[in-house]
Amino acid sequence: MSVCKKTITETAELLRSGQIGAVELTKEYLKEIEKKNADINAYVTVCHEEAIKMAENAQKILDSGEEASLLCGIPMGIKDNICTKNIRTTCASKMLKEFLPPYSATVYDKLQKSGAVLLGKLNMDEFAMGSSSEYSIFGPVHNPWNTDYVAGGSSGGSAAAVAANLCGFSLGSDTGGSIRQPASFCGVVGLKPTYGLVSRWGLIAFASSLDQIGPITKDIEDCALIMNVIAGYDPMDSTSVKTRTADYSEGIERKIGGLKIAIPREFFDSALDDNVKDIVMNTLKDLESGGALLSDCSLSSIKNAIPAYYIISSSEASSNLARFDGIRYGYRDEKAENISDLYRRSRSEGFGREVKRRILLGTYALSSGYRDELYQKALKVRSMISREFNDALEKYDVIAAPTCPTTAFKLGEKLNDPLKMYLNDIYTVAVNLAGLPALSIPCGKDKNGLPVGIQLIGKPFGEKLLLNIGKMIEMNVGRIQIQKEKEDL
Amino acid sequence: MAADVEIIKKIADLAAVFIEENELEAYAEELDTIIKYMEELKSIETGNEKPMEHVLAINNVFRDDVVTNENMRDDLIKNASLSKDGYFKVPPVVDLL
Repeated sequence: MSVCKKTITETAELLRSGQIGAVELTKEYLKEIEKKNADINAYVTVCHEEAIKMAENAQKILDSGEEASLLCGIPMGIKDNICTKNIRTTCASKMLKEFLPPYSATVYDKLQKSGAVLLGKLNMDEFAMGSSSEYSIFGPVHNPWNTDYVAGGSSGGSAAAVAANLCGFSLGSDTGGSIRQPASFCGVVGLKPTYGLVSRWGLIAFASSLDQIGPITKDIEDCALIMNVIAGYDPMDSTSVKTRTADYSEGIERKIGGLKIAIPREFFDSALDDNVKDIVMNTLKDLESGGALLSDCSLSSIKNAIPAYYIISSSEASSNLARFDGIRYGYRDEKAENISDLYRRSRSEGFGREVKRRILLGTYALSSGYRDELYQKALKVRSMISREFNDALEKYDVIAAPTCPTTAFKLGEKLNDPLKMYLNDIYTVAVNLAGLPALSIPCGKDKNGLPVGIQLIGKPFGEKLLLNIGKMIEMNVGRIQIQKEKEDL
Repeated sequence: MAADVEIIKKIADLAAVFIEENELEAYAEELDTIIKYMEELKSIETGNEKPMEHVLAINNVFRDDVVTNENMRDDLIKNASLSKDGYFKVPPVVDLL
């Protein structure tokens, strides 16, 4: 088996026992990228030289005999909206095509300190606005399971890179499902942490009250390992929460007998594909056999989640993206003769169509005459959704549901119908509105051989329990991997 | 009609985004469909519900007023398309009479 297929835990063991060196490991991954990236388009920047240097440093730490993190020497990919000092960070936008961040995001700093090796930056929807990773100036990400299909979005590159074994793990960001949905489409594990648990410092903002950074990994234990490094208070992020950091790996195989799992019927409505439904229900029945108590429940406010989410996220985006003026950084139109023309033309040419659509939608929702009936109304609906979820989580330990109504769809299928694209997020956006943690775990394959994901939603800071149940699912289902014949894409 | 060409022109102006004349119609159509769907919100009974801007109770974060980073001017200015003598260069900002 190629070393690139191994999980972090397995690879760390090889590094420790000297069966492979950190530099050799990084070179193996770079070779895989060279071989497969043209077909998948997960990476937009590959850092050959930096990666080798980081691997050499990691090897020194491993050789020194000092206690090293399990991530020491493990190659990773990072979504291209997370700042990496002096390494191009583009948000997959013409606006930031040449942007060299003068500082690094806290999460990248922490991972670097633990000895992880950066292979490169990962493709995404422009400014994280999209559900298919097709809105990228670098072209769409292709699903490694079948390259005619989308990888999901907006962290499509992050999920596809993990699924295709082009990195040991990756980071994505989730504003309305952007970690969980691509993880589900690509058959990998994706965690959207509780709002405030992982620092957003250095994440290029889309909708600040909803954005969270999280890991995408080959299995549940790997996900816990990454959380052990990236979670925790950061004074650089004013919304970072001062909470005691947990050991996410500890007790991950605990028995789940007696746990109360709520199954909200609104997530199993007519929008849900029958095949996906069967697979998710079977997974839940396995948990029941393992001692979990399943209960039917209702989260009726979910039907309002899409309009509330798109109004709020677009309003925040229209404000956040006002910083792109063409002057201090980013694309600049050279022909403009006055300052106002410079702003307008630089933004018009620098942003892609979907980003402009969202800026216009947000500006509309915040403008005089519509502010009360759209933006303020959406905030009130957000209260209702949040309360309903939190009330359910008072009664039950977790909520379980499909991550998405369908498996991956074909490239181009929803590209020209923005509303249809938005509706794909029906099962994921409410979690962000309520700030809750949620985990997507692969739980089977549909009749076309495409992966299905199940979503576990937890109480604030309840990530440990999600990983614990996720581990049970993984033990029941097994790790979903791309078949041998599809290896040589 | 939730959005038409005139509304698109107005909000594009507010958002400082230039939309080409030949694209206005398409934007109006797309936004009209999207906004009509979002307007479903209007029919929801929200009673005395408080607007929720944020998940957390957000407070100001204070720290002592001491310098914690070095002068990063050169690093910061290198991302600007145009600069001169360590300053950002911009077209005329004040209209001369």
